[in-house]
Amino acid sequence: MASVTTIGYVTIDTTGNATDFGDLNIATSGGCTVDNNSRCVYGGGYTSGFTNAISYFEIDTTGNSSDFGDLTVARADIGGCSGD
Amino acid sequence: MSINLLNPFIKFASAGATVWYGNRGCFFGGASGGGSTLHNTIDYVSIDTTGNATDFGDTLSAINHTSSRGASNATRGIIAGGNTGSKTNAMQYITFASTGNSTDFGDLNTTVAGMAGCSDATRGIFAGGDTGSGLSNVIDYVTIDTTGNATDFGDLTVARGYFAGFNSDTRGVFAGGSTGSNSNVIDYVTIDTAGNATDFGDLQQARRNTRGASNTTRGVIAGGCT
Repeated sequence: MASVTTIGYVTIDTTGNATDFGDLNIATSGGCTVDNNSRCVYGGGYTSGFTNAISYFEIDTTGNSSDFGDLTVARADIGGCSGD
Repeated sequence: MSINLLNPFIKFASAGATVWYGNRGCFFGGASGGGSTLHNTIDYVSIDTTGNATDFGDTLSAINHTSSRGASNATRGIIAGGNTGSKTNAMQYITFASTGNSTDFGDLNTTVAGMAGCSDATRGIFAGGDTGSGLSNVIDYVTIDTTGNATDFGDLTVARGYFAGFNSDTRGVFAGGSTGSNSNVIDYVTIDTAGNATDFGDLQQARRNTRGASNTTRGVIAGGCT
């Protein structure tokens, strides 16, 4: 298993293949994404081990993710959702 | 499409449907220690700032591989299925504004882990997953404001698990996953109309354990493994 940094994007109300967006700052699988209407926050996951790292990027732009902070516990295979 | 000036996280579609984009992001469960140590942790961040996560409460039991994305409206977030040592059909919810433990919501139609989820502000959809005896194409839905068991919605184009879900205010999209091998499939449903998923397109690379996020127009698919 090799975790990847890949971020792709699609325009939801059309159909078509994903386009390159940028890269997560760490190759990660099985973390969790939460979002508001502008920002995606990606937390935890499996890198070369279990991580507590959180990174973020702005959905309406393209580019790489930036450091956000840390989860309370390093872990992977996480679920998530967002509200107020 | 117009923006609610009192709360920029709500967008109203022309047909009147809404999708909720809150500013509190919650992370449920997970595993560490080689994958064998399950966690009941729920922690949260304020999405529009940066900083470390804060403890929110506990899931019903230690769990991993719940739905990769939950379903939510302004007040309630639901996650579905997962692995507690064995696969579960339980759905559980939290009230975002009140930190605390999750509460039982009802049951999925299938005992399954590794689903993908999406929602508008009314309906939550949970799709696919790993039943332990095979990968599922089943799509279930719930009404977020009403606890109870899930109802059949339709089928994915390809049975798979451990994949991404995201949504606009009308359309739910599922991407990647494992079909036994890694998948590049993207398919979609219309959230307020039950029915089978339709092909959308392909990811740049086949991968599983990838995650989705979105605003009302753009969906992003991040990370994963090949």
